[in-house]
Amino acid sequence: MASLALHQTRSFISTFRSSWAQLPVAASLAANLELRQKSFSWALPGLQSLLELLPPIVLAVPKSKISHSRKSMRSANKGLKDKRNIVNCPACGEPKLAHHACRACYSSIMARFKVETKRLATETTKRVSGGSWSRRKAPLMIESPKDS
Amino acid sequence: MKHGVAFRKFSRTSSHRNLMLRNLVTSLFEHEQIRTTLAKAKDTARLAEKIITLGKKNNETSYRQAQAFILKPPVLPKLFTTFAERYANRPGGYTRIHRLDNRFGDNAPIALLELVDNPRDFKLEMTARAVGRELLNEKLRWDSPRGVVNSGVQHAETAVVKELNLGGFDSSELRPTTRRNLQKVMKYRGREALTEIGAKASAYIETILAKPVAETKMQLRADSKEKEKARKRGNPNFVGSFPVSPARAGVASPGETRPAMRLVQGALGRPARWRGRHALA
Repeated sequence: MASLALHQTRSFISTFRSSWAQLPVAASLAANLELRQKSFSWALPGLQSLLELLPPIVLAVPKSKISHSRKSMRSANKGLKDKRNIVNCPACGEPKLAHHACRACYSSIMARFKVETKRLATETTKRVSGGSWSRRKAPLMIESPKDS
Repeated sequence: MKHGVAFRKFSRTSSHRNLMLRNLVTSLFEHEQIRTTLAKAKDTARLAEKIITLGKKNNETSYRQAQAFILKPPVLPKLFTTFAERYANRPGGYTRIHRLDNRFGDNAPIALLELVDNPRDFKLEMTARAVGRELLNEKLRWDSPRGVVNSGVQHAETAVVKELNLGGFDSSELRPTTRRNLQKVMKYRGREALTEIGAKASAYIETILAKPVAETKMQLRADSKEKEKARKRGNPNFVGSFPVSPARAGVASPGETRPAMRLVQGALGRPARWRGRHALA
């Protein structure tokens, strides 16, 4: 059935073409169309694909899966290294990096400075405004309350 | 090639870079202590010392030059009065850089840049504390801890005075490093600085001696708070201890002589009892 249909369409097309060819304008058009249909193709001349331009060595690929053992061997030197420049702070005894300031001492000293600055600022403003604490002098703290 | 070029570029254009450094120097003069990255601190220190030299010169030209550099007008008189007086006898080296821990976000090395002999000198604080602790250690060599707690450590100031004239290899109560730091800190300061250091050292000794008591008090307070909360929830038999200050590795208690690497390793630092197993070096 399909082949019959195809044959019929083919004969139909051929009759259509022949009837078209009889007209003078259509004749030149048809010839042009046929020519173009013959020369046109998607692929570049002489090449299956662009890959043929590249040499085969560029397309390197691993031959097989790297084994677990070989992978681990390569990663043996990639571990984090221990720090050996650890010393005890001469003030608080906590561990600290050599040639660096002790973190605990630094934060406690800075906290105390902040507290003192705030206290001085509030004292002066209170004295200026004449508040109830204007004549009293609070004793300086040795360490701020947060330190253990 | 960059052989021997002293200046850093900071990934900024020259105008941006110069203005940034001018800002840092102005902030340093205003606050006398700033915290910034290590590279910026090094370049700022260099510039700041040159400007302080202008302040010491104290003539018309130097005033105009400093005025062209400093970005905040209130800072300028400070340069020609306070700093000129403070560093009158000191030949250079008016700044000091302390390396701090790296910053959390980008692991940048951070430094504390401060003017030497400023009212909040960090090195003076640390030296005073170290002196205090070492005097305590010395006392603990001859006395039991309980005895030291009861008697305390007196004569901190006299001990400090004695240290000022000792050399590098003389033995005394302080370590050579602490003695050297003490001498440096005291070099261009007067008698009142000595009293200040003595007072700070004594105060710090008392803080060290009070630490165990303070810690147990804090722990008891935290425990009672938790018990109260549990009782409100409807659980009167609640028993739990929440350590307020967790046990940290490598902390040297007063009188400790072993090195930090040994303490920090804990059990791995001790040689094991079976044959062939040594401590991790």
